[in-house]
Amino acid sequence: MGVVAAKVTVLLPQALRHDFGLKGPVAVSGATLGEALQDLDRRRAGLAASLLDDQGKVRRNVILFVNREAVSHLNPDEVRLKAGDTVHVLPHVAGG
Amino acid sequence: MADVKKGDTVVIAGTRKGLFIFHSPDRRKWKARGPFHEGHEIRHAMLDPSDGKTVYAGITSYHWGTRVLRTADFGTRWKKGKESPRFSKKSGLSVAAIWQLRTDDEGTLFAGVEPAALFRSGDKGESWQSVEGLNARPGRKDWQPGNGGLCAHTVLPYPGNPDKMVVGISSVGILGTKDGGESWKVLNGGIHGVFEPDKVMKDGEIGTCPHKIARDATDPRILYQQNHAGVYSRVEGADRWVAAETGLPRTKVEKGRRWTFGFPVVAHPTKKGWAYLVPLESDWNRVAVGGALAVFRTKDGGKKWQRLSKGLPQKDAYFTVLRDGARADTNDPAGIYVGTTTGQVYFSRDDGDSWGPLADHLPPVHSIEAGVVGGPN
Repeated sequence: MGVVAAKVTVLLPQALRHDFGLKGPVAVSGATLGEALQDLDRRRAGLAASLLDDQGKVRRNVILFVNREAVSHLNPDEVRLKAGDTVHVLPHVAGG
Repeated sequence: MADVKKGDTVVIAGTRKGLFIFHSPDRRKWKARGPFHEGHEIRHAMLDPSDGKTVYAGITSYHWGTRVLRTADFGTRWKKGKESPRFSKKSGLSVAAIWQLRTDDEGTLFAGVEPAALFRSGDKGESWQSVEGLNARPGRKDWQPGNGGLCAHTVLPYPGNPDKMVVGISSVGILGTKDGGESWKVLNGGIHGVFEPDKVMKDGEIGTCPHKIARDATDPRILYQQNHAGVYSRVEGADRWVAAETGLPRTKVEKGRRWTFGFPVVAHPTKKGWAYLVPLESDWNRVAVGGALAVFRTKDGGKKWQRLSKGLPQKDAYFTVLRDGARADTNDPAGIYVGTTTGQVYFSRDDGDSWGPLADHLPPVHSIEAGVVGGPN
């Protein structure tokens, strides 16, 4: 029996909303965080590459939460999602 | 783009917080456009000389990775490529910064990135291919970064021959290809060591730090180099670089050897043997020599240099100019432009004989490019 993709919401920071022409939360689907980010990328090409480096790891200065759990240190393909989850994308508070 | 006209000179400043485009019909009064890509670091942006209107910008975001964007109307609309330069999973690497964009005569767009690698695009930056001959070169694991990072900061195509190119990589050296990037030769011969200045490198050895290399505009076989270890020139076919510092301030001293420190080198666009430098005190004090900003010019391929400072601040002017912070336009006489990390841009419209301010209060300037809308005059 296959894993069902969950419908989740992605909250992006202002900088990414501005760069990718988005106004608010984005609804995506994915059984894992990795799949959800791929779905996000289908809606706005290049968005996944803004969050993940060339090796598929979360970028060093990006923080990802699923609900209230920090997941940046985990492999996105191993972070399981369930329906109604919220993925928060936050920039490190840095960059002078 | 309504206010930017064919024949205008444009100056493109890539800064730590966005991109600025200045333009002028007469190089006397300048208008500004931008900032574009606010908040993002632009290490390099360039005007494509093949059409004189496409501007490519390499964005390096502290948070969101890198992108290459282009505009055909001087910033009114920007187009993102479908992808950005990216390493393969097999490489284990990830692009951290875009250091240089450059086109060749055939319109192929190249990107020099960090960690040192070269990518090419045949479709204006929509898609990218890794130049594996360089990026997967045996011995790459021995490349060590300098203070600024392991960066491929200089990409020099060869006019009229798309198979030839020279690339400069910090703390590794100068590499050249004659077969379209399939194989590369290390061209570090003749360059002195920094901490062992009596040691002179041979071609094939890695471990020198070129800051910038420029190709003579009329004889592309001739290269000028500002290295961490001094100023050099080299002619294709020779087995070494030759020191070229007569008339330059040689204020860097290490174990009895004196040399000229600095970052940029610029070739005049039309005059053979003419080039420009902006020397700094030394590697431990990277400011204008004596607190007086000066540009040095050679007219004989580096045999001797002349100090140019008319109109440049000569007191309490502790400016830093980075490796891409100086450039020439394609006019005759040439305009020369210098941008500082404290946000000033100075310019000359007479081959460097006299100077004036073009802009101030910019974010730290990483790069300056200049050209003429619609192509060279």
